[in-house]
Amino acid sequence: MMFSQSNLARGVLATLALSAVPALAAYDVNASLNKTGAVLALTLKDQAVSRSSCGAYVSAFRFEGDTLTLDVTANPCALDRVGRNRAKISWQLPTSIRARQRLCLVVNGEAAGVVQFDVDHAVTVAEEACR
Amino acid sequence: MLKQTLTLGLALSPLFAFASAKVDPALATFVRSESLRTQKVIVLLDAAAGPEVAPRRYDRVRLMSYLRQRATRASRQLETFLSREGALNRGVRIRQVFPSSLSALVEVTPAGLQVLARAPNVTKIYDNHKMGFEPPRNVRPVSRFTESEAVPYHFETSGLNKLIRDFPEYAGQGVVIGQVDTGVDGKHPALQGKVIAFYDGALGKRTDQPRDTGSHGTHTAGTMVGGSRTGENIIGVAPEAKLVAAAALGSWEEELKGMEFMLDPDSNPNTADQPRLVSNSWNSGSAPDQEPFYRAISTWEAAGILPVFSAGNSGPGAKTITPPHEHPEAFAVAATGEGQKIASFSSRGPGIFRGQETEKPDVAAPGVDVISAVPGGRYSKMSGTSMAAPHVAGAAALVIQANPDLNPAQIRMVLIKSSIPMNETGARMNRPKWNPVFGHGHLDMAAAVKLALDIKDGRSPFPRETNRFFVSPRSLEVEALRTDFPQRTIDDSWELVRQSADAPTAWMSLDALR
Repeated sequence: MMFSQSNLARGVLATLALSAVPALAAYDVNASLNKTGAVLALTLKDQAVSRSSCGAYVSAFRFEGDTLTLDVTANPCALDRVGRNRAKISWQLPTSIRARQRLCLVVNGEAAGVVQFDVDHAVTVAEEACR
Repeated sequence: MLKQTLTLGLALSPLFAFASAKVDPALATFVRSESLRTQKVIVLLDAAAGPEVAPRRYDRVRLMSYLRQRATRASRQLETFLSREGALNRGVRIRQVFPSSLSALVEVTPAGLQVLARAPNVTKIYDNHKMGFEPPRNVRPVSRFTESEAVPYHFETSGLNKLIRDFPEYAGQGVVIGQVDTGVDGKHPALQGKVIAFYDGALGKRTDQPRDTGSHGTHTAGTMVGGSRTGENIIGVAPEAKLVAAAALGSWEEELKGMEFMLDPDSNPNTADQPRLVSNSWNSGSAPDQEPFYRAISTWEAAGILPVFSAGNSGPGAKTITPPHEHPEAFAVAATGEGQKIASFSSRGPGIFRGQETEKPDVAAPGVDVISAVPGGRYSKMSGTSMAAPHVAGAAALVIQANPDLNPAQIRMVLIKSSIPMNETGARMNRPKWNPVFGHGHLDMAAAVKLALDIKDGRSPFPRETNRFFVSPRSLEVEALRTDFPQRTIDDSWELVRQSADAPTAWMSLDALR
C-alpha cells in the first residue's frame, strides 16, 4: 500500500504538523491484527533504497485521540547490502480504538494513511489524510 | 632506533602527549560532561621495543606468541602509568586487550579519559562506534529450487557452472572459511553441520549454538558453503568447506573481538584451527581513521589468513570504497549483475589508504539478486557487494583445495590472474589492466581452480606479482609495504602506523575543550 508524502531525511526525528497536501510517500505501511483482534501489527517499509539496509526501528510511539504517531529512525549500519529498511511494531489496541475501528497514522511527522479494521479482523490501509 | 627515540621522547614529555590531538571527536560531548558515567572507548596502543623477535610472515604460531608478548608489555606500561596517576580502576578500567591490533577496550569516566589521553603509549582514543543494528528487512523470498529449475545467473557468470562441469571434485573439501557477520542460522537445512566454531558477540564468548541476529550472515554463509552440489539447495560455491563464524557487528568492540576470534577460535595458539580466509561483508563506518582495523587486517594476512572484503555500496561515484576495504591487503570485491554488468551501487576505486590511492576493488563478482539461505529454512534474493564477497571467498576455498600450499598473497594472485579482464565499461580486454570499476577483472572460478592446479603440477609458473597495491606510490615507506612482499614481517606495518602522520584536523585535542 502506497501513500503520498514527501521524502524524509532518514534518521531525522521530528513530529511536524500534518501536511494538508499529500506528496511522495516515505514509507509503505502494512497492517494486520492477531486472532483476537486485540493486537495490531504494523510494518513500515522505507521506500528509499539504502546502501546498507538494516538499521530502522520505531524509536518513538505516541497515541492521542484516534491518532498514532510513530518516529522511525535509521541508524548507521555496517552491512554492505542494498535494500529497503523496515521497522515493525506490535500494539495492544485500546478499547476506544477497537470500537472506532479507525486509526490515523503519522510517521515521522507526516500522514501515512488511515488503518481501518473490522470485526472479522480484516485490516485495510487507506490512502487518505487524517482529519 | 627511531622507534626507541620516539618512545623515550614521549615518556619524558607527557605534556606533549596530552597536547597532541588523539581523541575521537565523537567523544567530545562525553569529555565535556562532568558526570560519573562511564563509556567504553577503543584505545590504540604503542609498545616499547622488547626482546622478542618479530616472526616471518605466515609463521602463525610465533606470530601469536609475539602478539601476546607485545600486547602484555603495552598493557603493563599503560597500567603502570594509570596506577601512578591514581586512575587505574578508578576512572579507567582496561576491559580487554586485542593483541592483533595492539589496541584495547577501555571503560572510562570523562575525567578518566583525560588521564588516559596523557598516557605515553596511548596513540589514539576512539569512540566505541555503534553500528545500530536491527534485523535486515530486505528479504525477497524465493521458493525452494532444484537442479531442474532455472539456474541462477550468478552460477554462470561466476564460472561456477563450468567448474562443476570441469572440476566436479572441487567443492572446498578440507578448507575452513571464516566469516565476521551478523551470525549464522546453524539449523538451516543448507547449513547444518557446517559451522565448526561460532563466536556470539552479544554473549562475548564462543558457543555451540550458531545463530543469526539478522539474516545477512546466513545469506552470505549460504553463498560460501550452503547446500550441496546435487539435488536441492544448490546455493554454495564451496559446499564441502567448513565455517568458523562470528556474530560481531554491533560495535567496533564487537568487530575487533570477532576479528581476534578468527586468529585462534579455540583459544589454543598451538592448534592450527584458524580459517584460511575470512569473508567480510561489513564496513566500519566513519571515524577519523581506521587504524585498529588496518592493524587487524595486517595481522590476519601475517597469520596466513586471506582477508576478503566487500568493496562497499557507495557507487557509482569515484573513490567510494568504504572503510576499511581500502587496506592494500584487503581483497575488495565489486558487485555485478546479469551479464557481468557492474552494479551501479558498487563502490568505485581507487581506495584511499593513509592518504595514498590503492588499487581497489581487486575483482568483481555477482552481487545483484543473489539467491541464498535466510533464517527459518527459507531462501531469498539479496543485493550488495555483501553478496559478491562470499562468491570470492568460496572461490578462494576452491583454490586452496586445489593447491593447499598457496599462501594468501599467492591466492590473491591466482584469483586476479584467472579473472576475466574488463575495462571500465565492462568490455572484455586482451591485456589485463586494473580499473576502478571492475578492478583486475571478473571472477572466474573454473579458471582460478585450473590455474591453482597448473601451478601445483608445474604446468604454469607462479604468476609474477605485476599488480600494484598503490596507484601512485609516493613514499618509500609505503612502497616498502609491497616491494619486500612477501617476506615482510608484521612489524613493518606497525612501523608504518607510526610513520604515518595523524590527521591533526580530524582529531581532537583535549586542550581545545578546556
